[in-house]
Amino acid sequence: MPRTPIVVAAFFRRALLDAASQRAAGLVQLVGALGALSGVLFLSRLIDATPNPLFASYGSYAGFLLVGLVAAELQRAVSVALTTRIREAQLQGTLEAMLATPTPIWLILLGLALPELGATLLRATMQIAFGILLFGISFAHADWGATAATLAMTLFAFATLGVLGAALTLRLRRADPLTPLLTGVSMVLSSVLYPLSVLPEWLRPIGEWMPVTPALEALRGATLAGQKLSAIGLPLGKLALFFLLLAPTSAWLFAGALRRARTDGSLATY
Amino acid sequence: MIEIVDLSKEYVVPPSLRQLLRGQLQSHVVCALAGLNLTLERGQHLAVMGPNGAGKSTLLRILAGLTTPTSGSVRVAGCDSARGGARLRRRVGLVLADERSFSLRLSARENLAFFAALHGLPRSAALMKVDRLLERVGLGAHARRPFHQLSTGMRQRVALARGLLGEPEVLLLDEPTRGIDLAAAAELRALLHEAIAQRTVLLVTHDVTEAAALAQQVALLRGGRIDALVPPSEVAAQLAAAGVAVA
Repeated sequence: MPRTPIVVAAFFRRALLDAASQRAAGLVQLVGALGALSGVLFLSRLIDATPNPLFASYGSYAGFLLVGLVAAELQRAVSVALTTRIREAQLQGTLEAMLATPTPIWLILLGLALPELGATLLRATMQIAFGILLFGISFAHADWGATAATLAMTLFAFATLGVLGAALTLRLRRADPLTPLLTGVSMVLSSVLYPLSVLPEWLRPIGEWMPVTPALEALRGATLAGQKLSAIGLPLGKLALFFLLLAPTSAWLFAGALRRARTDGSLATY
Repeated sequence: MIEIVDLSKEYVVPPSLRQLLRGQLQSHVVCALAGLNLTLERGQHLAVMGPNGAGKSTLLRILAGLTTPTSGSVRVAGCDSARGGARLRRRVGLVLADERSFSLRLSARENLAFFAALHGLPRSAALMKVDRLLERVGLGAHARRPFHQLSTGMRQRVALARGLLGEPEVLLLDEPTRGIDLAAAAELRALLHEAIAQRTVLLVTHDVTEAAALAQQVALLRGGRIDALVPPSEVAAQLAAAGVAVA
């Protein structure tokens, strides 16, 4: 049997067993997250009280907001998944023991990140379900094929940020400084909470090229406005361009950081 | 089985922010190993002893392929350790004293099953092997207890079982009885004695008794070099000559 599925399954099983032993903490975290989401969705009712042409194609501001928050959380989580797990494994001392096995480094790092990504997608699904069931947000017009394609492209694009963050973590031997900055700036400039048209004109070009912006344009189009793949081609093209430009750079930087960490012995220890 | 020729390892320590602000722009170099030469034949057991900072752990990690030498050549079981690689790691078992390297909330069985998967074993084969190894190290009855509930001695047995998962030709042991009481240490040494038979072993230890029990020769490491290579019976004399009191 090929090694990759065995190793990936082992990482998932370990993460599930670990999570199961901390059920209460996980539940509290979930309740907290859904509580915070409820707060902003209740607030959105103030905006939806009066019809607003900015949100007409999305059904409501609540739907616009829900997709925005879920996408922003996806960006944050995908960007930090690898970095967080590497740092955690270094500090816990488990990384050294893993690296002493025949499994290649890239597969260990993938195994560390994948359960976190799975948990993020599960949380996103629960948040969407929460929005549908408790706040009546409708995804009845969604084009699921376009949604799936957008989600895949979005994850690939965000993952390049994760690899870049991981390279910085290895090189600097401390928590990734890039992702919190990017997440914060995205919340302001990337149409997470409001359309780009609300921003001053000089800020809009910056917002246009933040990776979350085309992701949100495509996701909202596919899920809320029922747009087909051809209609969201431009934002998907921007995401693809982002991926094509950043993926080789971040991979090269990561490989260099990994080589350096092996040389100075800092890969397995903090 | 282990061939080390002119091995050197230097760590470059960049200036801290405080040093940079003081105008001290130069990195400084810490020499962990300086031109070390050693040959270990198949089946030989060598203990490595020396003061803290002598380079013992660095040597172990280079042999395991976890870090690369600055210069020199290191071959373990026919593999170049600088390249690392799965071939090297299949032939080498590493037993660390760091009990943090296990997931505390998982049982010993699940911890070992996870590492067995990293050795490429499918789930059912992994569990069979893990159950056999846990019996072998005397932990069959404690297999399903969470790792954090195990005593230090038990945790070290789990670490030994992990080192044996890949059925390695070479076993690298990093202070296997560190932090364990005398009785538990003696039991663990008995297990180690059985585990290291037929294997090439390099054991890092501060314990002269342990070196005598498990090794045929002792290398005394100081300042990144081997000061002396002696039978265990002569270690105390060598240490005394170097001004080190031995209890």
